[in-house]
Amino acid sequence: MESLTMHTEVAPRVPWLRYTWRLITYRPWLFVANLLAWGAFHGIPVLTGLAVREIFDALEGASRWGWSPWAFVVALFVAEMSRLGAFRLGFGIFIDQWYILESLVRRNVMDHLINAAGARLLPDSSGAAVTTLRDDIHDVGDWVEGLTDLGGLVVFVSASLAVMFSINWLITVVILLPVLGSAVLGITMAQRIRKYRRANRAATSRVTGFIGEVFGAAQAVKVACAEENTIGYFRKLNDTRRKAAVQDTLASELFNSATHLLIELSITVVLLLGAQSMRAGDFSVGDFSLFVSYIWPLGFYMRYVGNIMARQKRVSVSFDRLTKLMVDAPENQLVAHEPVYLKEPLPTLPQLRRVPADRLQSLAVLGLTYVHPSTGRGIHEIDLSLERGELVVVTGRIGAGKTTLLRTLLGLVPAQEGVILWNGKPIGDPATWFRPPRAAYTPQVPRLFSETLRENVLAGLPEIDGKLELALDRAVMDYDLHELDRGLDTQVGPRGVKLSGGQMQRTAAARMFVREPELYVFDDLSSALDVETEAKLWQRIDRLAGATCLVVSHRRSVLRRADRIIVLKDGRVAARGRLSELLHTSAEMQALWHGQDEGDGHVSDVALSDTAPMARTA
Amino acid sequence: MNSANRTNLRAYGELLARYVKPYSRQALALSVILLGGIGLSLLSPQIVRRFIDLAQAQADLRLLLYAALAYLAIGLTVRGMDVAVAYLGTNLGYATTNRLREDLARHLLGLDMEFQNSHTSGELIERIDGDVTSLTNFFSQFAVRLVGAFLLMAGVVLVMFITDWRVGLVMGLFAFGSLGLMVYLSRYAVHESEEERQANAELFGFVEERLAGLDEIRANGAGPYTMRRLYEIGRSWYERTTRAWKRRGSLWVFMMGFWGMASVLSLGLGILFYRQGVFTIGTVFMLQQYSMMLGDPIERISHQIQDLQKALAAIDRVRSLFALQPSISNGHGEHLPEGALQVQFDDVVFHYDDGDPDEPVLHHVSFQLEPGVTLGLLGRTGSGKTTLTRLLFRLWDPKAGAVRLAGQALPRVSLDNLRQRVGMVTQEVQLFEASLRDNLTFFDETIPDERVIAVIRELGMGAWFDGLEKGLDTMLPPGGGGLSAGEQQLLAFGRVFLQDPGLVVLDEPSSRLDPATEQRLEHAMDRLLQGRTGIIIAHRLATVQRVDEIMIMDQGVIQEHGRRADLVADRDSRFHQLLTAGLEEAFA
Repeated sequence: MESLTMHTEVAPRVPWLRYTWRLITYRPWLFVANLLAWGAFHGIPVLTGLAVREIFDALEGASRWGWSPWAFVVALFVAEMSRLGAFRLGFGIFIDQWYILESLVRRNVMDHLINAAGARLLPDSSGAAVTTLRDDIHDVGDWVEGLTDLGGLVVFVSASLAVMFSINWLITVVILLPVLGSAVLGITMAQRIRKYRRANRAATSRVTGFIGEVFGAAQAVKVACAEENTIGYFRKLNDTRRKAAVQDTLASELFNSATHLLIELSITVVLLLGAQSMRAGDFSVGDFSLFVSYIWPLGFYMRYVGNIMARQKRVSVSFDRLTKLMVDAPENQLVAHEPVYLKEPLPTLPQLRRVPADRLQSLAVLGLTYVHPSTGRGIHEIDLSLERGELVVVTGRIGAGKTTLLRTLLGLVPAQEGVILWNGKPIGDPATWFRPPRAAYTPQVPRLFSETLRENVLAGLPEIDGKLELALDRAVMDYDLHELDRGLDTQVGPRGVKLSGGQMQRTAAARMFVREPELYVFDDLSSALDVETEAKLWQRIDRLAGATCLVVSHRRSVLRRADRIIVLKDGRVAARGRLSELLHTSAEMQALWHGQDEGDGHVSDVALSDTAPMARTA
Repeated sequence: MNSANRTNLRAYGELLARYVKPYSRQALALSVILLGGIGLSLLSPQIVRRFIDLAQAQADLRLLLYAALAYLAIGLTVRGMDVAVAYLGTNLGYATTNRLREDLARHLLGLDMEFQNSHTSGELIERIDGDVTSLTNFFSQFAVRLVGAFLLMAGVVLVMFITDWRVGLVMGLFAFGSLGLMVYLSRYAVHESEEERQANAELFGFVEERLAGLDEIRANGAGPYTMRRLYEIGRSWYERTTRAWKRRGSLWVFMMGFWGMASVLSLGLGILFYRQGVFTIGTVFMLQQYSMMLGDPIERISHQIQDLQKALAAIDRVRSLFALQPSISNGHGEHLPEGALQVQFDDVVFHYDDGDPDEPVLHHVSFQLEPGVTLGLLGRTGSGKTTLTRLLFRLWDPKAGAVRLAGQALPRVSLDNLRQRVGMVTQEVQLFEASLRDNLTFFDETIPDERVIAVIRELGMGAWFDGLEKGLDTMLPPGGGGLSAGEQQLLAFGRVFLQDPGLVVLDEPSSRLDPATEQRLEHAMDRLLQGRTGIIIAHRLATVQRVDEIMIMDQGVIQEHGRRADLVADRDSRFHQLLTAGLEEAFA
């Protein structure tokens, strides 16, 4: 959210012009059609103003054409109806253009984040990234849409000024001052108004966020008897929001009223100067009505033109944020012309193909290093090797770098140094290499998506007879399936909240098993499992002939099984070897091992129960 | 209007009376200004007519100057009034709805756990903020604006009538006919706009989830699938949102048509009567100006009526929430004694309301715990151990039997006092996006800072605290980010220390903490249990080492309960079996 509050006066240096051009040319005819429709819509009032003027002049018997006023009433009617037609047409296509372009940019960003080579670190939280994907892309669509208006506005402004100038140059010049004033107003106020709008939004999201937190913790609030105090805090947040909302409304209303007032000032000028000329007979009521009818749109259009500079800054900031989100993307990736599948049939999914070179014989890691740029924590010069069929366990205290090691190996964060050898051959981009069918991964806190259980596990794999059931069985989900009311078709809820913590982990494990990768990578898989379930899981993994596993764990049962243990301390390898050796040679291993119980030496670690379900299901 | 809507309108009246009354002076000022503005804006075209006719008649320049200045003065006043209305309206709208939000939140928080567990917090955000926000307009300016728009329309038509009754008749019929049509058409847009909001929520929900799970999508090769889903959802989003836009567009097309026709019609009538010598040229111009003024109220009324439909639906939902009542009553006002509390379960039977009464979660549970004793509670998930502790807080009441603290049956004790005297630390710690102080005191402003800081130091977090630049004012990020699981647990202990209860229920943390962090927690746990009765839901045998008594639950029944030392010594006890062979053999 913080990134949103930066409202730079200086637009960032992004090739906004080139980006805009690429966007316009994605559906060029749609843009041209918009330009024409809105050009007509904004331009026609020049004609209606002229028609009304002729009506009044004809009434006074001063028609330049000698025609009856009725002829001009007909002309006025035709003009109004054509304008209506232009509006109808324009309205049918402006939103198409806007949302097609939004879809394109969104697709390009998401595709790069998901599929491109190299590590992907979101610059901010995923929540902030969503804000960028929603609001900044909205601004991009809005920007191009605004450009289609601009054509018509330029037509109206130049044509109406020309007409007015030809009628009475002095009045035109004098009223131009307040009209220009509204352009200046547009330039100066836009930023400030957005600032208040942002503050209002932030205050609102504090309110909604707090409601979410309180009801997410309803039991804790009740148990602590903190209802009244919590509501008291809620009241403060509400009050802050009220003030922000008042400021926001006041700012935009002042802006609006000021524009109105400038226009009324112009009309007064026309009245006063016009009265002189009217008495002299060289300014008719028709001329007056024409001036009045032009001044209103002129004032608002000038404000808009002033606003366009602010919009250009805004879209530059949006382009900048979007390209930052894509980090290392090639220059035009953001606006690349790719299909968005809004109408055409969806693309077919590629099949998993196994080639002999994928078959894992050995994996070696040399000098792998990644230091987090801001915290300075990370892993340093890690060596590691793994043969087919082995179980290698990485262990260590919290913050020792276990998870970072896995993520660096998998290319999820960029290794700063080090080589990874697959069957002795160095691999280029780990992010695209360590994917099925070569590897699959389950993180410590797995993320599920609000789809069915089946879709979560398969995630795009074709449903081949028995494979899914087998994977669920290996992940010890068989029993849970009977418990869930709709089995595989159960909707797991947002982020999987309808499942217990253990079920979420095992679903994620099933997602890994069903891919039958050469290498299983899992981070503390058993942290939310009770001991019995975990034991079953390991028994079933054992049955997978030749499964190769790289695992983070500090559970004794897992450490005992390990063919090799890597003990990490402060991001470096403190010791390596089999458990029996390490318990003698490594002080860190001893500390970890004995930290697990200070009681009866022969009792296993976590006993008796699994952890509480994550969902608030009764 | 059907009867449900009528009921809701009455409810609207009641809510309005309850929430707007305290602000009646502001509301009155708002109404006066709004109506005054309407009256003034009816004046402007009259002045312009006068001006034109004067100019045509070669009148004195001074008169013309006055007329022009009057025009400007009216403009200035009307704009000033607009600003005042915006200020008063927004302020009033939020001041009143904020109170409704607070009342609603308080009410919902007071409802049973059954309610809390069957509603996601996202849903409640929508109920407490979304629905109430759509009432903001209704609590401040709806009635005035609606009446005002009608008055403006009627005023314009009346002025036209006065000018010439035939013009008034034609334009009146045209305007009110258009209004009827507009209101009729605007119904259709409401549904599509709801769809649009839903489509946006789905799309960005999808995007947010996938970005949060980026690692797994990438490392499990689900990229092409995810993109395909994005296309699928994006297509549905595109169809629904553009449809809503186009639907709204047809309303605007209608309005555009109205403006155009009104102009043509009024000029036509003007020509007719000017030719008959009934109108001056200034009058023709004035009528055209007035006819342009008719569009605005029509647009506004149709807008307000769309809003009204949404607001009535919102009022209905708000009302139905207020109608819910908790089944846990507040108790008879007795107070629990100071110091450690005695715990007694007497033949307690319990099942959840959506559960099977024939398979209760607690099945005739009876036991007693003397003051100051620490009990270790063991059992698998579903054995009833968590439920048992929940009954102590009266999150639920037993279906049969009684729970007593210090000899008092719980329903006799005031609910506030009960929950003050019983404290709980769960595995999942709920932190708020608020200051460290508020997180520890649970927003209780009466607790002095010195006490809070003392507790932090007692927990062994002194060094961490000293490193905080803003001390107790440090804002914790949402979701407790930036704090380790262990630190979050320690803060939860801190809350209970400040609460100073006589009975503590601990759901012992286990899984994700490394052994070193655990030790700090155990130290805090020991301090907390001093001089208090304690019930620990134990996950680790190390914890069980230090308790006085052990109770093992299985399928809602107490399988074993006794002093720990006795059970260890008794080779036939379940606990003894667990301690020795059982676990090791099963998992080795």
